[in-house]
Amino acid sequence: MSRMYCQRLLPRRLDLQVMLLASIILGLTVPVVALYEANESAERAVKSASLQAKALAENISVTSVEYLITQDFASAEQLLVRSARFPGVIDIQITDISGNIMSDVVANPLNEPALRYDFLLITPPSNVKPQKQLHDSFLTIWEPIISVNPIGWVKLTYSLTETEKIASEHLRDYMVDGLIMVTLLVAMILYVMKRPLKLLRTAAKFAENLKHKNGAQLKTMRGSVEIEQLGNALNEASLNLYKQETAINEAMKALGSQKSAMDQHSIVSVIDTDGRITYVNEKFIDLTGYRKDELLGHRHKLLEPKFQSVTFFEQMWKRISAGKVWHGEILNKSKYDNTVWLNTSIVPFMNEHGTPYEYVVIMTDISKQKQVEAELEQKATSLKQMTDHLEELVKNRTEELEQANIQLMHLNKIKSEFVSVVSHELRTPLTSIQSFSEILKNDIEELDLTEQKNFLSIINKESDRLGRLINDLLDIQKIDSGKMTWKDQHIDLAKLLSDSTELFFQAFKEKGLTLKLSLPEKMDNPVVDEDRIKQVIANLLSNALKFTEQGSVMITLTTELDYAKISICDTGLGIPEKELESVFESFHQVDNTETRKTRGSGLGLAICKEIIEHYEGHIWAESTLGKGSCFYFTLPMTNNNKKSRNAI
Amino acid sequence: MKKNIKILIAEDDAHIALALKVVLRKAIECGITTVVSDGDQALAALNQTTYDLIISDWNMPGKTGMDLLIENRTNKETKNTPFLMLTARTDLSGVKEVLNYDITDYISKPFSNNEVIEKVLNLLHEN
Repeated sequence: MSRMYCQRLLPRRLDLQVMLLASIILGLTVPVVALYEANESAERAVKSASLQAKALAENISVTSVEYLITQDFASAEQLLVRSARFPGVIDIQITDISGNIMSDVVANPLNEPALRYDFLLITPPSNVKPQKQLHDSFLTIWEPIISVNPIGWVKLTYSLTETEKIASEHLRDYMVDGLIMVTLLVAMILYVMKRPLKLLRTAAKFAENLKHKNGAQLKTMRGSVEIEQLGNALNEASLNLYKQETAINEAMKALGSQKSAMDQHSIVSVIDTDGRITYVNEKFIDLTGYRKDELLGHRHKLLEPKFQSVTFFEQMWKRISAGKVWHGEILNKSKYDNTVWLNTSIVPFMNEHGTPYEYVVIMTDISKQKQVEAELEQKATSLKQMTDHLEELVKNRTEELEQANIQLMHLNKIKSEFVSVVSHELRTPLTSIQSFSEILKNDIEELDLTEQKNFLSIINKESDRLGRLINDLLDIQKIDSGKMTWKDQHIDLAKLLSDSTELFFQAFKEKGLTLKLSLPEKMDNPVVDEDRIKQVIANLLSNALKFTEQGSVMITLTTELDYAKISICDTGLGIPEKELESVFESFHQVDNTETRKTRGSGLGLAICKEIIEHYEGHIWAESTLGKGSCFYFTLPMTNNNKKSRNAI
Repeated sequence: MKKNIKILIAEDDAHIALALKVVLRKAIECGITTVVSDGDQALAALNQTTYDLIISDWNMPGKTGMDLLIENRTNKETKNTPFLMLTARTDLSGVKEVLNYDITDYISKPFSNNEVIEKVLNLLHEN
């Protein structure tokens, strides 16, 4: 309050303040000096009056000694009257030593001093020495009159009124002089300060105008160094201000353009550290569907977990709280439940303490992009599936081809092996034939008849063997190449078996073996080539005969629902288990001494297999070594497939 | 011609073995021929007696003629016994392997009797 009061009391203009201050200082100085000087002058006047009064008293004392001794009172009175004419003297008295007044003269300022005769006893000082008594407005001098011994006193009363008057006048003069001087000084100060103050005002006004007129320059201010410095500093400040403002304006302009550009492209919002929205642009409003007042001051819903994990947003807040920029894709829904994908960058703005005080959130709607991506992905997936499928097909096809290739190579190998084996098998009987025919031709005379017969028999057997081999080979080749003619017709399988049994019966009997046949009572007739089935049965019976030394061979025909099953079981050598399948391969022969003795073409069972499999039947062998073997084959009763195959 | 020449014939085809025996009987008058029908029997025979000549078929059950030749050539006792390989094989490049061994020859089936006699005599002379 007091300060405000002071402020109100003090003038605000500097020149007035200077004037006031100078006036106060000088105004205080003048009376003090005047009083001091007046006092000094009064003292000096009193002193001077005192000295004059004393000198007068001494003079009266010295002169009056004689008059006192001689009791010449007239002379004494004259002396006193003369003396009393001296300005300031009020009263002069001469007394004896006891204080009895002998002469008394009272000064009169307008007339001659007058003698007084109302003598009274006055009390002189006890100490006989010159004395001075100062009263308010007068001075009393006691001067002893001495003639060898003190004989009396001169008492002089001196008025100080004049002195006081002089002092008072002096004081008045001093005061007037002082006031004149103060006025002159203040005027002078004001005169001297006038220009600097004017310049200061100009500078002040200039400075005041700087806020909207920066860059302007003050005229050179000639005056004191400080004023010049002030002017220069102001000019420089103005210039700097101008430059700064220009720079700021440019920056603002650029920022404005950027903001406008960003507003065109991006969805922008600003949030405080609590996540409350403090700014949104138009795009943001368009996107979210909320009004501006529904957004400002509220929490940023787009930055709250809805469709993405809490961890995702926790990490986002952790990063931006640490003052780092966050980039990410946020999935959310607008007020109208539209799903939006937002490519988002959050930029923290830092205060001077290095902590974020707000975050600028810049978002781009990438929903379409995402949709396209999803579609692309879907397409890619289906493409991938197609490719996978194609690859699978190619792979399968490749595998099939590889398999086919392997099979082909295998077949090729089999073929060359077959050719090699055939060649070997053909050469073997031919060797015997050639060798024995040479012996017979060259050395027949050296051989006896038995030998000749034997050798011819060998030649005959080997020729048969060779012939069979060639026939079998031709059969195999015909079947393999599909050139075999199949004269398919309904045949009476039971009759065929009976005929075959009859054909072999004699041979079995000769070897001491029994050949038995078991037939069903009634059965359908399969459609097959009779000759081929006969060939199969003849091969199987021939083998049974060949490998059975004793016991019997049993032929059994049974019918199942849709096929006929024929078995030929012997009590012969038997076949090792590992060879039960390979016996059906070309030129395979069970390796034992007996087989070598009873060598066939090695193609019989292979031909059987080809024929049965042609009719989609099965052929197989079961055996117990040393106890015998059973060969089975089946023939389907319905033969439609075969017919259609033949038709092709 | 040395008398009592012992010849081992290993051949699984009885007719060919017989033919060889007859041919050799004429060529080597005092020869004794032993016929076996596979490689194992041949080895067994070789362990019992020393032969002056071995005639072996290549393709035999069990040990083949080639097995027989190799075992024969690694055996100190029999490594110098002449060896005549008979073969019906058509890949002669394989057959010619036998010529890597000393005092060894081969004949392809079918053969002429004179060829057999000639090769046998050659081998016996060589030794």
